[in-house]
Amino acid sequence: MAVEQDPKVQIEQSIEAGTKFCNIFYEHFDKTRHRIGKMYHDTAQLVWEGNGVVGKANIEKYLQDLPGCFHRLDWFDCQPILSQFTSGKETIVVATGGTVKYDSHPMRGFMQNFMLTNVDGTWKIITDSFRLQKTFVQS
Amino acid sequence: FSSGGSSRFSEHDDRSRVETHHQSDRSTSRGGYRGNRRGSRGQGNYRGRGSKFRSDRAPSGGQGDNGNFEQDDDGDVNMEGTETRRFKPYARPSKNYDRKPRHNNNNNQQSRREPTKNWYQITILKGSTLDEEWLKQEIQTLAMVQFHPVQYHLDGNHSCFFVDDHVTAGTIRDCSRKITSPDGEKVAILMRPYNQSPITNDKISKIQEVLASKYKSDTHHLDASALFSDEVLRGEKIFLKVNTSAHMHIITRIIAQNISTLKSLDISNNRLFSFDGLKHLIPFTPFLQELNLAKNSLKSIKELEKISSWDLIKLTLDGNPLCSQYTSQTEYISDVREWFPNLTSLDGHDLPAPVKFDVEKVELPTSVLDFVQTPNGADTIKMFVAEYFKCYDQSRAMLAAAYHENCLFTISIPPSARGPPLSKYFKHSRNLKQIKNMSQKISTISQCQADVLAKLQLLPKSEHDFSSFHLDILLVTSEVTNFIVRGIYKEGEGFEANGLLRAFSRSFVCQVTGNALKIINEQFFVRNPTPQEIKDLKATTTKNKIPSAPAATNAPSQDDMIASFSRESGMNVGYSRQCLEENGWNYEKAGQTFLELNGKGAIPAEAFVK
Repeated sequence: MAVEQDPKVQIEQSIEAGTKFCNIFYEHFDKTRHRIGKMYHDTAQLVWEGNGVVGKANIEKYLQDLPGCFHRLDWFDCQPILSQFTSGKETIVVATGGTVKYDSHPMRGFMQNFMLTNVDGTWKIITDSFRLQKTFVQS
Repeated sequence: FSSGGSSRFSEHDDRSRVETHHQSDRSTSRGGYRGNRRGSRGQGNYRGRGSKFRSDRAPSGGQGDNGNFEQDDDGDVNMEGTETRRFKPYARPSKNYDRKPRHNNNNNQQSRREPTKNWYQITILKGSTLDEEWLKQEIQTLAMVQFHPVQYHLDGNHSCFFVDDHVTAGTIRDCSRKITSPDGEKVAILMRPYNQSPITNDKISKIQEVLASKYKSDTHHLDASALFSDEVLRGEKIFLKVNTSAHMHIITRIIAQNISTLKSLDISNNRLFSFDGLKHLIPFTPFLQELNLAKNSLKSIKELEKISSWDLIKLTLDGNPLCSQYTSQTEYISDVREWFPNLTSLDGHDLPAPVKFDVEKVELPTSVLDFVQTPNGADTIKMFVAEYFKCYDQSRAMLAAAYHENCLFTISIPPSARGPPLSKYFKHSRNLKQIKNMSQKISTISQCQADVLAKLQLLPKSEHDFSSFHLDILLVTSEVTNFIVRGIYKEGEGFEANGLLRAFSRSFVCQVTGNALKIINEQFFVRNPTPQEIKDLKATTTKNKIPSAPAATNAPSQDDMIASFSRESGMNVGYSRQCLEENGWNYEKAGQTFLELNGKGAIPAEAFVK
């Protein structure tokens, strides 16, 4: 198990992992959502607009039931959680934002926060918090 | 019917022009010896086209302008750009420019009294996503010139403004493709003479008066039909051409600031041929249900896509050229419904029920404001948050205790601010989608407690509104927690009346040692709040404050009550007085009434205009 790595190296690794994650996640979410469940950890926690869902299978089902959509990513940022706090487990936090258009719903701004961890060479989502920007309430 | 005929005629006209163009190309490309001639002839054609655009533009105002952009911005417009540049050494354009104002002088005696300025229109291609302030600063730094953009507005995906001197306009144009937008694209800038003056501020307030007189607050209906022939405006020598994006922008701003509760808009008979201007009204009028577009010059049904975010129930399109393109009523209705699925009335006729399938509309899950993964540790986190933001507003140096020595911190802003510029945050901002080089990717992350505190001190002063706070607690273990705080704060020092409102989201990862939390990661995101968020904020702050007010004073005078009610409800003095009078000067009762009405959205937006 890796001990006390140089923070700079960890930051570089987090950038690589985070950038690839952002590209893959939204691509899959918009086009092949039936496979998105695979990106979540078995015990992952999803919070979609404040609605909590626990576990890979439940999350998969929950996301399947959302309308078809298209995300446009405007920005993202990622950081490593330094190894001294995670007893060596590679973990990163990713924040993203942009706009999302759900079928037959108006386009809205969104923001999302993830925590990901490396499980035997594959990155898995541990927490995912999704929030839409409040626009007018449709009657 | 007659307008339909003319559209077909002009279509045909276009086609024949294209054909001749092709033919001439073909005929000139024959034989080597004609090579020379082809050159000269080609140029003749080219110049001919240029003059065609110019003549288009002059009489019909914006119509030609917009048409150019809409059809193909990279072709025609650029061609004009290169043309001006190419002819510049031969001083031809300046001849043209000279001629125009003289022409104006002959026509319009008033301009002889006021010194006429030559106005130039600057167009930033695809500029609608760029932040106005950022763009201005980029141009000023690059061109070493100070300028004041007049009437900044959006035209489709482009943004435009005016400047009043040729040298400045030319300098700005020369910045074309030398600035890189946050999306990594070169920013193309066009310049052209603008042979009218932008509308002055006093004229804008006149327009506001006229629009106010045409607004019926009981039905939330605004009659903005045939504005160019409005008697009052003509009397003031204001000729509103709603079909130009600059003028549409003025109307948009007036509506946005005064009547966001608009439900019905009549903008018929205004020579509209596209929605490039009108579509920018959408974000400000979320309740619009009825739209009258009759007797305009809309040629294509596809234009409706640009305004399809309005959830319209009634639409009138009668008297537009596009109507006569349909031979089948069913086809017409179904094409319109493609963009407005909830439409029940078109051109004054009730529509048959739409063909529906169950898969079409999937509702989104209802939003829940706060989420707590487990009650364990939630109280500790809530206390931490309350303490943190108290220190953050009062003295950020005190936050040292909240951060771990080896914490990481980043701040991000959206690439386009859509509201007051976020320039004070810009230079600290980390957006990995925009930053390309590795050293900058690393330098924008603060890597220790001292760095974080130094950066926090550089950010603008703030005053957080705790009633707007929402907390998602995502992860609680015995070692780390992850939670996100969202809300609104007022930017600026003290209790500034006009403090900017900002929406924030801060994601914290904390190390847990017993009952103490230390931040090890923070991702701070700032943006401008949406109009709905501002409205909600007003409602909650009023709710929280009203009961405390009457206790503070024993026997307040009516004026004091009005002033205090106005301050707390956000309504202006007139409406505050009315509300208090109607409730027999019972402050508490008036407050309740206000909250009820405001909750239902029954208070007109004018009430909040001070």
